[in-house]
Amino acid sequence: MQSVQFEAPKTVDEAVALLAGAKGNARVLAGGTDLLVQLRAHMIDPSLIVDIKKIDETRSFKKNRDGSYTIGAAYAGAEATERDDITKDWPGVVEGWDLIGSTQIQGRASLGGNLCNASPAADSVPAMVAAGMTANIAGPKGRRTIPVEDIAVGPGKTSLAKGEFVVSFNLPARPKGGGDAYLRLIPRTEMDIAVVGCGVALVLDANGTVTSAKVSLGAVAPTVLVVKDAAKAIIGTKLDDAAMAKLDAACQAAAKPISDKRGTVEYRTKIAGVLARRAAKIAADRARSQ
Amino acid sequence: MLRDELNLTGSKEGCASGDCGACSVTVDGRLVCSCLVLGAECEGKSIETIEGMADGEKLHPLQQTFLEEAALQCGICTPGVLVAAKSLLERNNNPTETEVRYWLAGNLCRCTGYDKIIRAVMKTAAEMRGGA
Repeated sequence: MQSVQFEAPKTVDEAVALLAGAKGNARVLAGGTDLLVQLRAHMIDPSLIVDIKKIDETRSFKKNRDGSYTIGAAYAGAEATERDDITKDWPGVVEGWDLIGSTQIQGRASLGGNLCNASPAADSVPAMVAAGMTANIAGPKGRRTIPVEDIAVGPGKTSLAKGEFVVSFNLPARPKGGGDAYLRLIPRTEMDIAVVGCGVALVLDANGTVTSAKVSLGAVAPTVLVVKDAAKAIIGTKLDDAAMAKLDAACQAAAKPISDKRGTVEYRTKIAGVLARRAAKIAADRARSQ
Repeated sequence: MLRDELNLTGSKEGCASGDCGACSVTVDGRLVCSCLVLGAECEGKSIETIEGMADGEKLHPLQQTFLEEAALQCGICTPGVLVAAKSLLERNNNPTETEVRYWLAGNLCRCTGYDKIIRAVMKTAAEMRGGA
């Protein structure tokens, strides 16, 4: 391993300048629960590590006046699960976040890191996508904001340009009649990587009809998927059996998994539909009990 | 850093990948795996290790109960389990068994099985609520 330069800038501009000016391989350090594992396993050999946690914006958590949230990219899961506001407004987002690793991992693991590590099985991502979250990116050309689903482009690869990093996220206000949920399947109850994950966010009108929905699948393709046909299958319905069957079929059709030690193509495809049904039901129950 | 530079060898390096919890410490009160924290990140931060758990010769109630209940065998996982359990009881002095099991899911023990550990944490919580 070569010697590593470590920097902990206090401003976004300094961080961008460091990352943009790096000669070799530069890495952003948020919670470190992926980065340090990769470093210790010699999977990566960076020349520069930029710890972004000294930048206030990456560590802040704010519920705005309009009910939306601005969440720092390095805000830890354990901090989020101790909050009453987001756990009530967006329980699905918190569920995904809270499933990343143990209590100890939760003490550090961040949304920014989980997203930019770009694992197809990242637990926080499907719920973030379903909730319509966007990422605020800073880089040499200034700031830009893009949907969360546009960050990962393949396993371990992101659309971020050299010098860019995710500073924070925008989470919309929970709509009236809105509910969300995230489910993952693992063969045990804790401490494992998703065989399949599914996030659903939907809005019900006063009659219980779905007026809008977003469905997202994890671990069944090179990136987390947005399944538009799955949303179409339930919009305008009361989640009756026929709508649920269409939702199931749409998710199975969208799933393009691989077979590995966690599950076969056939199993993952089937489970994608099952989890979507269950997550949609939980999201609808939450919307009704609001 | 903790073990080799500061000679605080209570925290054990088990897996060095954040899976086993043997290196659990708190950083500014937050439970973490120290193997996944760089020393350079900790400038100005308060770190509590197993070495700070007893008050001189007086053991922390968790340590005392672990001895009385034989909630350890080889002892490698024990410092991490104790630090993690203390962090739980500071947040929740009346946890359910399920809450204890989930909180300690990231502390792996390969000797005793977990029942004695869980029972010792539950008993300590009850004693700390009832006494003093």
